[in-house]
Amino acid sequence: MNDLVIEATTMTPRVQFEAVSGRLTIEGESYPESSNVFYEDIFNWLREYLDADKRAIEMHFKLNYFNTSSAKCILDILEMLEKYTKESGKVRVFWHYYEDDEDILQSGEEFAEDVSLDFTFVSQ
Amino acid sequence: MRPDELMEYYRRMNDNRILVSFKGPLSQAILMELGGFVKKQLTTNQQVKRVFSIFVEMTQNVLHHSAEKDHSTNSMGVGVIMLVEKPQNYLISSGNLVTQATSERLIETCNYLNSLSEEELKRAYKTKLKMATSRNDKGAGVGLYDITRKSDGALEYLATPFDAKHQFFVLTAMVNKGEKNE
Repeated sequence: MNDLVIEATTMTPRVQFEAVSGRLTIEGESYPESSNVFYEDIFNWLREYLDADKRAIEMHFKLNYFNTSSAKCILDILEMLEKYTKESGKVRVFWHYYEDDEDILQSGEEFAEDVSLDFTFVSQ
Repeated sequence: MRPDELMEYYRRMNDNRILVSFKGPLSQAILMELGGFVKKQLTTNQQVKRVFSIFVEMTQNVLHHSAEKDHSTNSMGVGVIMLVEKPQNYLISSGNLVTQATSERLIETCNYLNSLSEEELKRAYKTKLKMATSRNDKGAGVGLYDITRKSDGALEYLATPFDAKHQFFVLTAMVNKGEKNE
């Protein structure tokens, strides 16, 4: 399977999903006009990937800012990963945040409360 | 508007510390420009991000939900968006046409959100986010919840009859200025 790489724009994050290493990264800012349109390629890639080999996945979120419709898409990604762990897939989620950014830390903590996934918070 | 009125208008905007004001179709390109400007106008980090995030949610609300559409730009919602600096805080406001039914629904939602404690608001937000569907291209319907969480104090709103079918709905959220370098 090919990697999924989408370059960042002002309003959309950089996406790098590496098929072989299982390291998936979403990084930057996310407030596209239609989040479902932007995230569709990500959902599709991930769906196919999770159906293929049962690789261990490291999901890295390094977001500075995201709007509410992106938050919904992030929750959808987490729910897909949660389902994968129930089918004995291995997933670790790394939530990166700037030390002084309480809001981003808090949103990560709230996602962690809502899904059964192994979350690690990484201050940068 | 006469030319001398334009100067008056400009002066009033200066006097009132209106940092950003835009009336027209709120396209994503406009949001990008204004959003970048909003970021530059503000000083402290967490406050900047809260103001910015309220600004984005309000702009996208108008873009998706205004009852007035600009047909030359792919039916973008038309409205007004404004960022005002006060001595102690920032005010972020949006104004746009809505139908009578939408106006009633918005008022109900604002009153509901204003009645919640911080903890209740967090739970309501999370429930709403879970129930929302990302297949909806008009956003997750969680914008007002997030605006309330990021603002200090209650949401202020005013719905005024505009024409036979519409109300002009103004929504204002406030963010306190923090200490510098907080």
